[in-house]
Amino acid sequence: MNDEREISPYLWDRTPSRDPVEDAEFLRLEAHLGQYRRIARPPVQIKPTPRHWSKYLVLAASLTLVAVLSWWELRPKPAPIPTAWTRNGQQLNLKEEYKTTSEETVEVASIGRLRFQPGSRFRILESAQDEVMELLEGNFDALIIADPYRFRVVTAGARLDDLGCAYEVSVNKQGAGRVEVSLGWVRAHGAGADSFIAQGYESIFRPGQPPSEPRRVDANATNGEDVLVTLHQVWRGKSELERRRAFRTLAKQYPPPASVTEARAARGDRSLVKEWWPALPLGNPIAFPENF
Amino acid sequence: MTGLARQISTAEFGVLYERFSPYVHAILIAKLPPAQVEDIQQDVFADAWHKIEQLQSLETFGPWIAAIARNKAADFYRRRMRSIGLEEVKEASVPPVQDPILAALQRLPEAYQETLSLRFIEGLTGPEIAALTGLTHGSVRVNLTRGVKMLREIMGVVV
Repeated sequence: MNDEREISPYLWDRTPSRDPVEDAEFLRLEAHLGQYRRIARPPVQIKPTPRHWSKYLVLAASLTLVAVLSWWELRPKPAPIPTAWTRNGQQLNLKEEYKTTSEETVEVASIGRLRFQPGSRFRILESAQDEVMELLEGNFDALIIADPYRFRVVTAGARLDDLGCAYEVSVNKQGAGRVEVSLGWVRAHGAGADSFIAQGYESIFRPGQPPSEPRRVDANATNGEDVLVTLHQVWRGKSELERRRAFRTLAKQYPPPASVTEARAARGDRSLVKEWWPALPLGNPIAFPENF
Repeated sequence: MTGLARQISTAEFGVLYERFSPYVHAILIAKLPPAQVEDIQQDVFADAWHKIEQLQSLETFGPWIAAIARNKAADFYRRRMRSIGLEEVKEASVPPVQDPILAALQRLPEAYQETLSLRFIEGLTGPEIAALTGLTHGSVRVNLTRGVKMLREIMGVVV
């Protein structure tokens, strides 16, 4: 370990090195200094894939795999582009598809973490200024601490923009999915429509369709009109009549500024939302997208 | 100069606490007697809560609260020096830590002591340290390698 660029694998991420004496020294330091740790962290999870096949089947599959891999290795391949995302201490590459076989945590650069359920498939589409991933299938819960819109999740049914900061996303094989927010806000965007999903709400999305308007996860949690739901109906209502009705309902309780008129609601002008928002009991204003 | 565009809720702050308390703890344990760390860690987060509006962006929360933690640790020694008088200032600047390994870690330069504290005390891997602190992988590698080398030298002196 004379050259600092050649760090001991064990010192870096607990991968056993070729120097067991040095590994043992680091292990002793961990054991001794670990007594001062405040938060106990689970060990790095290395779970072998369970094998239920007969050994003959495994042998046949292995031979086939070797043949396929040999062919695959000969193909020209683009060099992997590493990102600042990590899984079990290993850097993840841009555009590469990953699949989880157990519950796994992925660190999203320095802005948060995703905890995936087994069987989830995902790719990182962008990593630098913005962190963008595609969830192909599966489920994760996210904890993101970043400026609004810096972290985004692309799915076949909708794009989910992080407005801060904790939520769960599920997508099935057909690309249909759901986002449930436990803290903060998420914007779901698809087929030209938007939903702003608050803490305690969810939205359902399917390929080619707008994401559903937000709805409360616990239907018993509110009495009477739900301001967030009604607000979405003001600009997303299916008919002019529905939009006018939603406008009147909301305006009766929370008079809008003069610039927000029923005529704008009638024509489905979504820009009225951010003008009305400060007068509504929805907490602090959220960050609306540009040109909204 | 404006701060965060919005207030954050106590629940959101709880999330920040959950994520960054190992970082703050690592900084404090690398500088203070262990018995002082818990109380000062609470002070650090209390300060952060009251000053959160000064923060330009939540993305800089990590470096920001790390700076608060370092200042709190320095305040601890400043108060200690004032209370014992100038004659003993030099002696008082040596951490009163009985554990020779922890004491050796506390004698390292700041960048090395904090990185080694995250690695050996908090139990994080290099990539996890980079993700939490915002340092590059290269910087974490250098801090770990040089820090361990210096720790060995100091331990040799101690022994």
